[in-house]
Amino acid sequence: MVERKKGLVLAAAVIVALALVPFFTVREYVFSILCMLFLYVTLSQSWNILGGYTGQINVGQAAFFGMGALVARLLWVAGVPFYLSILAGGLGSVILAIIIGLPALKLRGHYFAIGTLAVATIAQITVGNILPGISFLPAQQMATYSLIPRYYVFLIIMAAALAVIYFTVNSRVGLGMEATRDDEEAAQMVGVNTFKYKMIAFLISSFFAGLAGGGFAYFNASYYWYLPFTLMWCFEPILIVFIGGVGSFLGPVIGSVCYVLLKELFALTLGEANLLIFGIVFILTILFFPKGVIGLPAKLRQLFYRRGNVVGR
Amino acid sequence: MEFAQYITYGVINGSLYALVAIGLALIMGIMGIFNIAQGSLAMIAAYGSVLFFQHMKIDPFVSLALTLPGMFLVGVFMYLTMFMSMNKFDPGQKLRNSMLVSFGLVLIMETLATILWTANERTVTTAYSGTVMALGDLRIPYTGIATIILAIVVIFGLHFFLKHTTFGKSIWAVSQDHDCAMLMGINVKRTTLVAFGLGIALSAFAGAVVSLHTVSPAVGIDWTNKALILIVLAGVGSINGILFAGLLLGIVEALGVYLVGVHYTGVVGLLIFIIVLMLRPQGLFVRKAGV
Repeated sequence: MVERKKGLVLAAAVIVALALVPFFTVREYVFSILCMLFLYVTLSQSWNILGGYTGQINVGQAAFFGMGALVARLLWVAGVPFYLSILAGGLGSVILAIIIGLPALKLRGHYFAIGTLAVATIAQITVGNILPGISFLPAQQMATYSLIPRYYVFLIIMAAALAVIYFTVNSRVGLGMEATRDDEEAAQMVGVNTFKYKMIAFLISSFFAGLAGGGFAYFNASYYWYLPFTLMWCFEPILIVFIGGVGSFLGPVIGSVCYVLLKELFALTLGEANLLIFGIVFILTILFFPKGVIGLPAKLRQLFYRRGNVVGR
Repeated sequence: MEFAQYITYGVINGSLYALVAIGLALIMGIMGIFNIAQGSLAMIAAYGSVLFFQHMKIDPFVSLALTLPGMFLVGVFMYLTMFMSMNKFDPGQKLRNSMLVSFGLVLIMETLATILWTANERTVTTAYSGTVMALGDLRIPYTGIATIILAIVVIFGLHFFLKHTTFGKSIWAVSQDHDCAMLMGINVKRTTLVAFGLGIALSAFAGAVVSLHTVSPAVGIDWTNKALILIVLAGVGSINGILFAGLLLGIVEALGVYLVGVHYTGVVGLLIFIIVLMLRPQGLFVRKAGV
């Protein structure tokens, strides 16, 4: 319990320190890197509560991210205050999640994965068909564009996502989620309503993915309407969670730091081929380090232990 | 009459969907491996057809003689390096891990295709593309007729192979009980390897047809999506059902285009998917009750 309190105090201190960053530097590069970091932490942690803690693999996170971006941008450009449009974006994602979650989460196996992938590809194509152009900011919003409010929006979204997800997974609900992941049949047998926990996890996940999308819509001055729906936004959260450590609270945070740094490095040196590297890293992680960075110490210890055993024999 | 024309295109598209889905159905239904990269493999095969046509003037249907064995080798490589190690997992874990790995493959193949062949759309223009057979007022493209015939031959051929040849039966046997099949003297490792290679090789048929339409690196995931919807419609493990599910999806999509316009084609597919999940999750063409 003391450990947990220490961790919470430390996390709060980090958030406060990050909130103070704009008082010490005005370099735009620092802000945009940190904004991306906060975005990826939010998005990957939102994937983690469903994929890592509840065991339901969502391969279409882009649909929920994109839905949040689309709704928030449409409303904001139309003149609705930003904080209301971003919340509306989150709610839009939740509605999408209910539509696909109600039929697909009742079933076990591949149905949820297929459903989410279908929603993501169809959303991308449909949005690309209906809104083929670029979304520009109106001139008066463009004139007042500044990175500082964007920075705080991303920071607040991330802090909220981390707090809500932390307290959910460390509660009774979190136990239900983990029971669902570890053995759904056994959990149902002892009276756990697994559908309920899967649905709760999915709703929280899609809500924060939608908020992250809203942040994206607020951050970028101009982008193709379909851009937040593209496959990369499905892939990135999964990659980050698995690099960091799936089903652990710090995993997505560590993974996001690694990913943002590596991406900056690779994008500068390799250009388009950087996606190739990430694809290969992802496959190697799944095959050989399924617990990610978080699991590395245990993996190494296990290697040594095994070697010791052989010597002992 | 215009209506019948839409339905005709629906049938042609549906046959193509079935061709993409059949390899996925084989690998998923029989081996329990969830290969999201199937559409991307069809995309790669289609680029193979395009390149053979551009550089050597080989017709896509003729170059199948080269792309089929090529894709088979790709499948063998994929199985040996990535998917074979998953046989030690329980079915749920195997499904999950194979899905994640193949999701990485989608990204790799899409990026590779973009680097090698740019993101532009390409197509094969043969002497017969664009020519149509007039049946009264109905106009049926010859490539469409070829697609339908190919889908029927491939799918029923695969069904016959699995049900009536020794090797096909041994594939079924391994899928039903891995250990027992081994005790019966079946070379399980070779059987699973060939079955997986075969499933990937089937994407070459889809690739040949796709190359006659348009191919670009981004189409891969779209084809996979159609294939997965077909799997749910047909029911996992159903081979013949894939053709009927393809025709159903193609025709319903065509109706959607006819009624609400081309922008919402995908949404129509998603709606059928959700309805089938709610009412008959085991699939339309599987008699087994429950999931």
